Amino acid sequence: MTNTESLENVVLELRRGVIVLAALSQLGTEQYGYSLLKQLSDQGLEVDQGTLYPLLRRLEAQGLLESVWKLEEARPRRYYVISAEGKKLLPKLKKEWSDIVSVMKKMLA
Amino acid sequence: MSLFDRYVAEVGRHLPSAEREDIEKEIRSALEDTIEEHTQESGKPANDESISAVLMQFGNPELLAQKYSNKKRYLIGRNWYEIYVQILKRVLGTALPIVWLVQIFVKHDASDKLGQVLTQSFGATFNIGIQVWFWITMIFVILEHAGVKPSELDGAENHEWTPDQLPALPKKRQISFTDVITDLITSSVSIVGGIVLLSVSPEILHPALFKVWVPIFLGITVLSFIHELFKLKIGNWTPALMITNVILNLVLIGFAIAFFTSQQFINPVVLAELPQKMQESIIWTIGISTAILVGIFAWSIYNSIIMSRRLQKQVELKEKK
Repeated sequence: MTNTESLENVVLELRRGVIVLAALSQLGTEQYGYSLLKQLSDQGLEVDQGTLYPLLRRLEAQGLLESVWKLEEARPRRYYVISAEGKKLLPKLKKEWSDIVSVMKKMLA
Repeated sequence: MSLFDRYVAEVGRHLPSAEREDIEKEIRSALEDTIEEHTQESGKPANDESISAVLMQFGNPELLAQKYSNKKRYLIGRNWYEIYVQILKRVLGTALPIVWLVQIFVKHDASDKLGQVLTQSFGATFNIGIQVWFWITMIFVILEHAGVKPSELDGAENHEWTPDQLPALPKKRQISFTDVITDLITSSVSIVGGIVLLSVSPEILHPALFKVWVPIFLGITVLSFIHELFKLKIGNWTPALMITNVILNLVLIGFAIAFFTSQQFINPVVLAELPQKMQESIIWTIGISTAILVGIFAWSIYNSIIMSRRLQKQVELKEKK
């Protein structure tokens, strides 16, 4: 394995968990896949479409998101929104995240 | 839009059928959103080039389908693999030699020729082995895909691991159980092989075999059987065990050489009728087998002496402390 490959792997691992938290945090209001992608990238978090969409579906299967199909501009779109269970979980995840950040800040200083 | 449709179809092909329609619809809608965005940015209507650029973003359709589906893409996963391999080894390792021996007896009724008996019984054993392997694998595949976990089978669900569960360290033994059992199986096989040989074609064998060599061989084998049991019980190369082993193997070497030099294998009447070349090749085959056996016996002597010395040194070390 080359250096760049292992770097990519580590970065992917790091981002994987972050994307879940980012998506949950942005889905207080309902979004369809592409609009969420844009919203994340506008704030500086670039996510592959091939990563985000399956992730949303998995989060729904875990009961953290809910979804509904809507017909707009003659096109069906699946809108995702955070579920009651997801809302309960989100503050805990945020706390966990800020703990990790402060620990790592100290560690890497 | 043909590229587009082909992409969606290709993703769908790799999805479990229950979710296929729904996921295809979702990917289609997401793709349309992305393409629309691209056409708005460039001001040109969608063409094959822009569509293929978007498809590149979505990536390999098979990988995308994999990310969507939770379907298990393996037969036996890590939960079961270890247990599966262990059971397979144990069952095949113990059952097949027995099956083979039984088959030899069964086939021997049907045919008089030793070669035929051996190949037929081996073929039958091989087939049974394949069957056993298949069904054991099948059971584990079903367990795996029914979502059963090994920990659930003990009755206690997902109890936490504690250090108490560690198995005790095995007692230090120079002679492992598998060594002894291998030796026991080898000598049983050679006894059975000898009996089969004698009963299948007695007329071509030398009369002295029945009167002298086989009885002596059986006697020595019984003694080595008893010796193996002591090895199993004591577990280390104590001086007594080492000395009996050396004597036993010297007797075996003497027996093998005496038997070979006597040349009393084939009935002289039969041998005289055989062509010269065949006579030679029989002597050669038996000569090589004898040499190999003598080598094995000599190694056993050497090994037991070395091991016994090692044990002695360990004992002395302990006494010094």
